Amino acid sequence: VKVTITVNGKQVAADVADRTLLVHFLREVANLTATNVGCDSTSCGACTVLMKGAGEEGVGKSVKSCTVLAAQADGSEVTTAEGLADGSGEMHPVQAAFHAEHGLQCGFCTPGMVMATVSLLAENPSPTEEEVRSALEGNLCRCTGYHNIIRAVLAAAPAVSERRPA
Amino acid sequence: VAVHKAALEVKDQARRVAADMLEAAEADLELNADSGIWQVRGDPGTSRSWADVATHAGADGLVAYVQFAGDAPTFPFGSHVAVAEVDTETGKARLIRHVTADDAGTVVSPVLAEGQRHGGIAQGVAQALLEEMLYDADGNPLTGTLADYAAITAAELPSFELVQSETPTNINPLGVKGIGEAGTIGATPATQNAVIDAVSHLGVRHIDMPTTPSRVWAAIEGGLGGAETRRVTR
Repeated sequence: VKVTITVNGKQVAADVADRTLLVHFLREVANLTATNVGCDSTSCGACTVLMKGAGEEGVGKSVKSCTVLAAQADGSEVTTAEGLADGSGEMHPVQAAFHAEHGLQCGFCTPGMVMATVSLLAENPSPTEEEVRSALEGNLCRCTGYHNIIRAVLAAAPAVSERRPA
Repeated sequence: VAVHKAALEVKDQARRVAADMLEAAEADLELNADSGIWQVRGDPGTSRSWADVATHAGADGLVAYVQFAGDAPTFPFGSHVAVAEVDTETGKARLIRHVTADDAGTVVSPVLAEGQRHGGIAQGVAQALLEEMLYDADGNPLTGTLADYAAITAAELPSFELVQSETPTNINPLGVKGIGEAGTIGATPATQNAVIDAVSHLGVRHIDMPTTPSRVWAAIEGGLGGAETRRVTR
């Protein structure tokens, strides 16, 4: 099936097998390997990316790209961890907060955590700790006990709000 | 510890080389650890960088080979306090506070040491509340994927309260002990006992790990012990 997806602002078109998952499209066709394959069954969240239909406003919805067919994403815009920073050399505020608060250890869940956080803060710019914990329930981490991840999200919230154009 | 000893050896070698370069006595040289510059004490005009010193040291460079084996094992220790609440209607147990002291002697990297404690606590709590490999009567695993196996999530944990305690050991020159996933040891019994304590006024004295809602509920219903609750949950 012929698929055209705008990945991090760049059009990627390919003829792929019908069963190709979005995550494999991103890793193997677009050659963007920040998005990890964890459980392959929508449980762990390591493959979380942002997806929105053409012309939709905002950052898009967070989806687990191991459970979206590339064909389903045809025509949409997808943002991966590689596409978060604006190219100025500065990290996205969520990335910067994960760095500053040491919100990671092995780093495998981190791209998914960061993308889920961007999505959360777009929907809820100043969440409570409980709301952050609830929002990240679909992203598993086995190293950090989530403690510093939650701190990072709470620390990122004001910076993300500031960055958003008024 | 081996890295520490090797670094000290290399520093001594560098001191000799730098003394030679600056035509000064070794004892008069000092290293500014922030800038990485060797200087004659009290004379900022003289300076040699690590790169200068290493170049001057020649083909043999600045090298130390160190092996370290402790004479005896070190004993990190700690203490965990858990506060749990139980919904007696559903048997759902929830950890609401977790306070720990984990003493690993001298802490070399506070950020990494805290991370090890956080992660360890989560693993330990998860063993008490959720995680279990289950098998059917033929021995086939029933909890073989993340869809079946109850790995703990952010929503099931509180932020942890870490108390600092540093008691250096004299068994190695740094005074360091172990911290890797230290929280796993104390968090499980603390959480398990907190859940049982929360329902002890209902006559419950024991619940098998993990304290899943069905087990806790069955224990409350009968004031029953582990063997009975296990039968009820299968």
